[in-house]
Amino acid sequence: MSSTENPILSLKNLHKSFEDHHVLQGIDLELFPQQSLAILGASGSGKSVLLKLILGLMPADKGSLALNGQKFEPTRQKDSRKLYARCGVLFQHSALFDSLPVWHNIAFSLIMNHKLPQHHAKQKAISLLEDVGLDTSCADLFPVALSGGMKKRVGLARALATNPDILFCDEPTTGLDPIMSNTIDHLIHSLAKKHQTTVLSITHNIISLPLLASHVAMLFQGRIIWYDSIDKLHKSKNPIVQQFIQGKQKKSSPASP
Amino acid sequence: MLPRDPLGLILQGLALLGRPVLQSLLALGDMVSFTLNVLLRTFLPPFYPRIILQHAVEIGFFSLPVVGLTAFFAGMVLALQGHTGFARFSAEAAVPRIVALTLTRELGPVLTGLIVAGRMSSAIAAEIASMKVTEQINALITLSIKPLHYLVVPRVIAAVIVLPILVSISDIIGIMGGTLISVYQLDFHPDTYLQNTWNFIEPLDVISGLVKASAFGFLIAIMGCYQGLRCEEGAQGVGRATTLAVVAASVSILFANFILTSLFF
Ligand SMILES: Nc1ncnc2c1ncn2[C@@H]1O[C@H](COP(=O)(O)OP(=O)(O)OP(=O)(O)O)[C@@H](O)[C@H]1O
Ligand SMILES: [Mg+2]
Repeated sequence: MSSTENPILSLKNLHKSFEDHHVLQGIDLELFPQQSLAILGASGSGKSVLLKLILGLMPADKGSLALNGQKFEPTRQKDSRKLYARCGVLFQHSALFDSLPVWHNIAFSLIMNHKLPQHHAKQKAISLLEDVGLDTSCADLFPVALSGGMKKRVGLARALATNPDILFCDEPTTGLDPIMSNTIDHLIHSLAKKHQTTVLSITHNIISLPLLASHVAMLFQGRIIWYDSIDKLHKSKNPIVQQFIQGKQKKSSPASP
Repeated sequence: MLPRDPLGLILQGLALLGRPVLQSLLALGDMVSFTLNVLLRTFLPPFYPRIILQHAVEIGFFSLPVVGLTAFFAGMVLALQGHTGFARFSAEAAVPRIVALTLTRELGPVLTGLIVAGRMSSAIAAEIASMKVTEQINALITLSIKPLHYLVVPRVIAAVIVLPILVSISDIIGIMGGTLISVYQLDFHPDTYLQNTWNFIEPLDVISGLVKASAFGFLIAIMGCYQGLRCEEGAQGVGRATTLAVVAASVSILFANFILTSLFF
């Protein structure tokens, strides 16, 4: 979109290993305001780890991050607080609070941080439930009573409750049927448009991409090996991208990258 | 045959012994720093009174039946055993005193502590550990809520307040159990028995028991939360965390009981 603008978030040379497993080997990435960027990568390629590094849920071994051009260490409370105040996160497995009913899950931050009175918070939660296309009768259910797709949508509602500038979605559609996936992709797309939210999503679902993202970054063997706008994806000559799109394992393809 | 390098062998043996010791020391250090951290946060905002109340009900109210039952039987057994012992030198009159003293100073707090440890430190560890493996703790963090403040401190405060209440109740029920046996089986007069108990008990007996109870409550909640938060990934990790929590809470209760008893003497 507007690469002349300054990035909201930029990552430089991020590394992360688990013992001798070098998962991320120098990630450089920039996220621009109102961009919707999808990180594409195979299962186990380190997408969730990358998100955790950005959110300060794990320390990086090496590398640096910047938030609006300012150096930023997400594992330091002073810095992470700034990010958390303006972001919403949808976790891969939704991570809803089991002990709280759906509406309280959604309104959690409104009640705890914004000190909204319970009934106001509940009203807001119910309107968010409608936004994500769930029946309002779900409000008083507990998360155990929800299906995986419903949980995802409640998780999305929770992530959106405080009108974040930045939305992080870890595999918003994995494990859902194609129709439900499509609904969620549409939701994220339209809500992001409506609130001018910047979206960083993680996926390995090619079908989701056109709705979910304006730009795509391909993560492979610990590095971003390809980055461009979504229209260029299918024309890409990059063999790994090609493989990923076609869903084929080319055994002997030493074609030039 | 002599080993080629006896010094090396000795060093190897030492290392073999040293590693677990070192690891235990590290784990202990981690636990202590966690505890100090929690203590510090207890006095720093934000405070969550409503959540403290919820946990107090959970820890206290639902433990009442089993704590009461245990105290009742303990009181009866104490009266019977006391009678057997004192009858040997014709000092049966001391039964009410020994029942009261043992219950308020020792058995009330220790039995209650151990029972609540079995029930609650495992429950706390399991709940927090499963929150950890399902990323609910990460979700809390990204929603700008500190897990220590939201999950640990309220449970610790609730346990510290509730355990003394439970122990007071168990003292009363235990003494009732002792009275019942003494009256119906050992031919005591109920009025003299209770009068005897009441006259003999000193405030320090009861207070020392309640102080112990608070300390045990603290240990129960801390051990549950610590093991829950340090749990390893996966369902196996959750199981391990609950077991470790009960063991750690029970052992530390017995240890603290010894220390506190020495202090109160
Ligand atoms: N806490 C951890 N300890 C050790 N290894 C880890 C840990 N977290 C992730 N890994 C390893 O890092 C690698 C990347 O994991 P990650 O969860 O980021 O994959 P992913 O790209 O999100 O995959 P998926 O699409 O299946 O969610 C995996 O090989 C995993 O084994
Ligand atoms: Mg993942």
